[in-house]
Amino acid sequence: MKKQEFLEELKQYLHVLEDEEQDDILQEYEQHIEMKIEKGLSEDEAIRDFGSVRELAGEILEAYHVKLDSKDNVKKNTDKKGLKKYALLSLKLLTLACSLIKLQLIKIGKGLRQGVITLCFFMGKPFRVLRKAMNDGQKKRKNGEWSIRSKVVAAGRNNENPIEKTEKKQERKGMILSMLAGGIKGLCYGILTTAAWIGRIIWNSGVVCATVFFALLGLIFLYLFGMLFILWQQGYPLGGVVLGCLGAVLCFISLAVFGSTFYRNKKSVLMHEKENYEVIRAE
Amino acid sequence: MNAQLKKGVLELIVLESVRKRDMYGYELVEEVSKVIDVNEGTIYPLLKRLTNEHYFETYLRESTEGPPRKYYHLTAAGVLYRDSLEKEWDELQKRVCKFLETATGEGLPGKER
Repeated sequence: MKKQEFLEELKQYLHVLEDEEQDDILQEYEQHIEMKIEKGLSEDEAIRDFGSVRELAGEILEAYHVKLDSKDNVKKNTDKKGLKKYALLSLKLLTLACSLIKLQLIKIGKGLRQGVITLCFFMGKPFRVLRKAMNDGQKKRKNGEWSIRSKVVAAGRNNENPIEKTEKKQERKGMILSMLAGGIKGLCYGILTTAAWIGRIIWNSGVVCATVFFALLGLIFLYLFGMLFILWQQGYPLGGVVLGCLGAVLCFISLAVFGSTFYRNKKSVLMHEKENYEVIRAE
Repeated sequence: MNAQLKKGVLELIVLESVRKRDMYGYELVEEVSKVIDVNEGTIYPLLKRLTNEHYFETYLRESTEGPPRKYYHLTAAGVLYRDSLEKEWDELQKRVCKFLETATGEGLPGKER
């Protein structure tokens, strides 16, 4: 038998394998035969040492867990078709199940949203009452100031009137008092903002520390996951540990991201104030 | 030698040969042939199977004559597998030896006395 004949025959048996694998195997055998020829054997002798091509092919296919058919040509196509059918069916079932689950999840999500909204509404009630009271108080004070100022202006116009001089004095007193009140208010506001600022810094540093801690843990587990995954791929029985590591990575990274959402920005507070102010002005 | 007997230990011999140093197919066939007389065709399927099971890694290296050769290298998992095979082989060998000895002892009752 010639080398080419042998390779052709072997290839026919191996047609179930992927083209790349086929080429790989045939190349190896070709090289082997060539080396034997170099050693001085004839082409025929070199191939005879392999024995029956059929048996050889059977052994090669065994390495891929494929059985050689009783007939000479390997029939894997029917099996493949059956497999395809099963795959298609299971895919359809899977998509159906997925859509059902999706619908249920949407329902659950809507219900949860409604629940959270109602909960927030009830929990926010005392705060809303408080805020309304505060707004009312501010509005009243503003109105009061306004009336004093208009009176002062009016008093300035009627400067010559002697009867109203006493009234003017009283108004001055009122003005001084209101200025004093404004000063105290400013002071209080300053103290409050400083306290808020310090509180925010402490809060934010805590948040950043927690986030960095979890992120670092996540990175360490990611590294471990990578290493164990490679070992697992090499054949060590580490499947469970690898999955555990993946879980830890996801857990810690999501914790880090979740933690970072607690970061308080000054901007957001200011925006809130501005909104409040605009609401008050509109009222 | 009995083909069935050879088939069992062939794997261990191939693993041990590659553990000593990385080899390409033809070299390995020669190495194994030194120990047991084996059909050359059966070694390549074995190499393929062990590679598929991640006990071997392969890489190509240029040779002075001819096309580049595919070298086989034993992985960490391969070393573990080799060790376990060796242990099993030792155990089997001991048991079979022991059994054969007692069998011959019983077979010759005159020898006991």
